[in-house]
Amino acid sequence: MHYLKPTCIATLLTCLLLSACGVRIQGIELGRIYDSLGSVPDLFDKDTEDEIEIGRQTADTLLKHYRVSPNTTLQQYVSTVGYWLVKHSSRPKLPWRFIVIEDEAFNAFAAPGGYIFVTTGTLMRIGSESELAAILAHEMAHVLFKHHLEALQDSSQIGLASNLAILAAQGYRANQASNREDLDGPEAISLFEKSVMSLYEKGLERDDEMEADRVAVLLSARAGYDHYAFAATLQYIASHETQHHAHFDQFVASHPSAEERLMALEPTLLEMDARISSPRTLSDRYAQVLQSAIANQNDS
Amino acid sequence: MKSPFFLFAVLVCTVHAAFAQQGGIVIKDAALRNAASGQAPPLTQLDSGTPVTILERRGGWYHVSTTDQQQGWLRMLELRFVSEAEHSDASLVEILKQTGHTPTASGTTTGVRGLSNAFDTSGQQGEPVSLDQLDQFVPSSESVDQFAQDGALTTQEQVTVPDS
Repeated sequence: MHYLKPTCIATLLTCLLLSACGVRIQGIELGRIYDSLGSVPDLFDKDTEDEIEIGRQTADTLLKHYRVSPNTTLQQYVSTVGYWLVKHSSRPKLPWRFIVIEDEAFNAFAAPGGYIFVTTGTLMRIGSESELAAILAHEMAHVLFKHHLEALQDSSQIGLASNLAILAAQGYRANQASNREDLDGPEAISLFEKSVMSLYEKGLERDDEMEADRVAVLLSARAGYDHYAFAATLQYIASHETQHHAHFDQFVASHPSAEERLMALEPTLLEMDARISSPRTLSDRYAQVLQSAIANQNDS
Repeated sequence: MKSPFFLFAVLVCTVHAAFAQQGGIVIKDAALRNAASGQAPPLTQLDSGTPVTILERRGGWYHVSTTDQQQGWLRMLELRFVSEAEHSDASLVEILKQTGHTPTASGTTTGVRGLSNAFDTSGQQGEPVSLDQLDQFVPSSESVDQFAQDGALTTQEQVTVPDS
């Protein structure tokens, strides 16, 4: 049975009010956007529905700039590691998707609602499943703590997540529509995509990254992985970030320095030393999966 | 034409050589110990700035060799990798493609690190995958549990993750 939460009622009333008043934000009439949706979706846990809608449109926007790897071995492996972490997270019911994208650069990122992206360039530079788990856990932390969602609300200057979700949904509909002139879509797409691309080029706030680092260590450690794996990855990044290497430039530009992050992580790592028993690195399994993935690619 | 076995042997040697050359710098005065433990007796004291060669990582410890060939263990956070440009790995990737082998990484955390372009990223292979198609990669709960069991991964109940 579905209940109307107070926040949902407020959102509905806001939409109706906007519709009646013809309120515009950033030049886009939200009332008209709301009307064009035709109906309010399932109102149960509307906040999460909004988050997922925003995430879907964010992921769609990001995938205009990247190509999903067709390598099923890699996709299944990364997804399985991700879902083992999901079982240990505070939001296991989100529709998590772990996506390998083809890019030689070292990078990983997340979108609201549970979309996690990692590049093939990252997979080929790390050395173990525990490092992969730590990187995925870091990105999951951004989703768990809604870092991108809040940053998108700020960058688009649209305070309410529900309004941002309407904007995202309108953009999605316009992308699908055959006659775009009937909708405010192009404007909605433009504003939403501009906010997304600006955020992902600039990166999140320093404190968000530090929080995600700490959660990455704790989440991957709780799942049984080597709690020093994330530090090993940061050490590797630290050795490249002063070299202005093309494959690290975007990562370096959008994150605090690896050295600063290592220093901040030290107390958490030492605290874990006393608590963890038999942590797993799984470098052999990682090497075997990549061997299989490369072989499958050559066979295709 | 070289045999696959020869190529694989070259590959293994290349990888091990690259691993052996991983340099590090001690970033604060630190004890070099004879085992990977804070309780292990110190062998000597290394000053900040001392160069070492990293041989292996075990948890939060690196097994290192000094320039005078003394080996011992340093806490992981007491050193940093030497900054270096990425290794050219084109030949390694070609070998991988010809043999279908990648090196094992037993006992190390190096694994296949360094192979930055073994996957085709030219966008020419296969059909693009849409967001909707990603559902096919979501594993069943049972298969995830089996995967964890195969890797001897167990939930560490004593570790708590902050609530979002």
